[in-house]
Amino acid sequence: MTIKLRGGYNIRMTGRPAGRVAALTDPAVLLLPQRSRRLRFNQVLVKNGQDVRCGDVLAVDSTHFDLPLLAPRDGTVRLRVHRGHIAIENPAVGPSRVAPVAADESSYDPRRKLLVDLGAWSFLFDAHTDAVPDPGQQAVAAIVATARFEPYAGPRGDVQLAQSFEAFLRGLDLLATLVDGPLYVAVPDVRGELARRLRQAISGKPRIETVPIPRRYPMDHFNVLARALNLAPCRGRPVWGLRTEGILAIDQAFSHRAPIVERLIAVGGSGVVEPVHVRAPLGYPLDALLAGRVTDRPRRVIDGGILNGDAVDARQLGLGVEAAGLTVLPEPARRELFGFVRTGLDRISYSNCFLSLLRPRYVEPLTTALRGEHRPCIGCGFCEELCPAGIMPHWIHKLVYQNALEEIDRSGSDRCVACGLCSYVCPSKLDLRQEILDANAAIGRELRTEERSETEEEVA
Amino acid sequence: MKLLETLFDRTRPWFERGGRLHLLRPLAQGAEAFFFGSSEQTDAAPHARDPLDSKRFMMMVIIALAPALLASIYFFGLRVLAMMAVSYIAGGTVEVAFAIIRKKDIHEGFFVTGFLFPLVVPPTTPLWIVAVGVVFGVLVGKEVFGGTGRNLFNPVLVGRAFLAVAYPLPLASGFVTPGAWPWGRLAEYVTADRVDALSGATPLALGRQGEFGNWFDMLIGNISGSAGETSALAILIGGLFLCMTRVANYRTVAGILGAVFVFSAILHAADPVRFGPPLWHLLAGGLFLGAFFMATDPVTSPATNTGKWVYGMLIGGLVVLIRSFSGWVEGVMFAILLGNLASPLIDEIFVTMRVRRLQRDG
Repeated sequence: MTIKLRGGYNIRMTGRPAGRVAALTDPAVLLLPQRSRRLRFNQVLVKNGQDVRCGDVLAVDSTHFDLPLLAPRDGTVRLRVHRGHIAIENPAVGPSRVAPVAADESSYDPRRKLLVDLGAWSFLFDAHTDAVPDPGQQAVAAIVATARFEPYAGPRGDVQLAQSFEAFLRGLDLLATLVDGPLYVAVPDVRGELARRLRQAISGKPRIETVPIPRRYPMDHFNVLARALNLAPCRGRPVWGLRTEGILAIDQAFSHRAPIVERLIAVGGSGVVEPVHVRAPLGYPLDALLAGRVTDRPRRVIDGGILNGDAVDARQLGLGVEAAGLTVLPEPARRELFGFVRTGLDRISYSNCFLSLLRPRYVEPLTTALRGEHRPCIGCGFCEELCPAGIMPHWIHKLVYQNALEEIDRSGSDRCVACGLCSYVCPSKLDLRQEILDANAAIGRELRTEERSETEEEVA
Repeated sequence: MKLLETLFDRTRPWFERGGRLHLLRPLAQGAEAFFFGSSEQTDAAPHARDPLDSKRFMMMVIIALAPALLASIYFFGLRVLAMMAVSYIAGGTVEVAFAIIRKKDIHEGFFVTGFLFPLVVPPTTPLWIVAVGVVFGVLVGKEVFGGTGRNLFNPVLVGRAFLAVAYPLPLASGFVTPGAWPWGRLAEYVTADRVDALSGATPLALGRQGEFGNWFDMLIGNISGSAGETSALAILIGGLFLCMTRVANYRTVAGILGAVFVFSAILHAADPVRFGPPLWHLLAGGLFLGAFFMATDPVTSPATNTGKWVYGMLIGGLVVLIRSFSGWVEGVMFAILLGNLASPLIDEIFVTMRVRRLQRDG
């Protein structure tokens, strides 16, 4: 089947992680952050000095269905030494444990409970909201994205698949048994050997469909795919979104009953000297991970990609639960003289205002520079052209200026997938992505207060 | 260049809040921005940005206007440069004054306004009139609306329209014949007192008498007219470049030129003696300059792509209407101003349609 997708753009940037997986030295200590993008492990279940074994529950996130933070290695727990982290000292690889089959004490399906207990649930997304799906709810469909188009936001699909093709197919079958409806596997429309094998292997499977997608960011976003597949959000019956690593985690949980305590991470970006993939246990110290691999210049480490990731702040010391890729961008070294009249052979732009147009293979070393001054919107329309959600960021920007929340809501701001392309291309350097997200948050607050006052009226 | 950077770094505190020269901060900032790229960094996602900034954006327009300027100097002499200097000085003063009053940065858009203005007035316009026109254009056309990005009308055309109304005589009689092959007027400075000897009617004026000129001369610009509008070829080269860089949107241009062609072809077929042929309409007067460089101003044209087609066709239709049925021989200026006026409405219509479609899709 083919699907229609609009907008999108590819950003070419240096520092693409190599195909091989680099070896890591054993760390002296593991530092597990208690926060990740979606999760907050606020209830600590272990004591200071307690010895734990690999797969033991260290803490749970009580706001997200008690998802557990698992001990990635055997070792001794150290609390309160590193703020916001649970440390495991003297980590060692113990004999691999097999998880017991869950006793029927939980309120939901034991198979989904197993995924929760073994740490595989954090690989699941609600395709429409990117939130953690409720393990108590049955999914109506699932979308599997085998590629990632945001530069270096995660491990390369081909690197993961080449190593574990069989496990991936097994994982797909297992996932199909967990989902009520169809499974859509998004495969970039490339002619590579791997893509061909994948399409062939899936073609025979009932209820699993391959969906060719153009190789443009953000065509791999679950919400973009969900919309293109006409999967409307439906309360209580979510559509799941998974990436390749999620399918592999499901396979590991069911086929080996082993806790998922390691991550394959891409380390890329123009600040990386030696872009690599590494397989690291959770909590692996970031210092050790990046040492020798990144430039000495001032730099910004980003959890995820440059368009959508969050800057890793200095207080985070180890690899988080939801880490998939680290992108490192150097800070700009010097200011450019007469930048506006330069030929521009060394910079790639969405517009055709630079001569790099004549160098189709050129890849640019990006930095964290804003590359221009903040200016009022001039209505160039680039943001609208690129928007994969079909909304008009420049229009919403005007409405934000007028503080017209109702009209913003009507302009489809809730369709924003936060891909960041509008802010990326804006020649006036407006923070359109943030403006839309803030406006949506404000609309959400407004709606909630309205609902509350309505119920209060009813009560009265 | 290290020296210059150090100079800016050293003097910056003077212009900061509480510094001795705080009032002049926009000037210092403008000078720094002229030499150096921005030193700012992104503070959240997206962490990297596209290299295009508004300086480069405006620079592209100026580069694209260079052929038209060179043609203008060739055909009408060095006085064009004097007019440009006056335009920049007078308009720049207004821009800087407002930047200081508003305590905002100087915006690059002015460099395009200052460059375009002398190209849309007759080559012998008295310099003080050029100054009055550009000051009016920047002040009333842009600053009173809140500056770059908030203006409803194209400032160049506001200034030009003001001159057309306030000083009709010098403007109507300021047209001179172009210089002859091979040196044109490259070494001449045509002053106002020589106009009588050199004055030449524009193709549009001749068209009123049923004379639809030599197409080759109109193409290369060997005709009389406003300083920068005569050489269709030079404008076409720059204009196509501008469309290719995506600074000008091809939809607006295609809409205007297409509508002018079709509309004038219909009129010409109805009465070939009274109405000029379509190609003549395209090449005469300021149509190319207006279509490629003024109607495409993104601020004053609709933001939606479908809206740009409608806007373009509206302007094109108005141009032919004004040229054929009104007292004015040239209609591009008023057509674009009317198009500017209509563009918020056009946007409203297409945005509403778009929003409805989005809601239907869910």
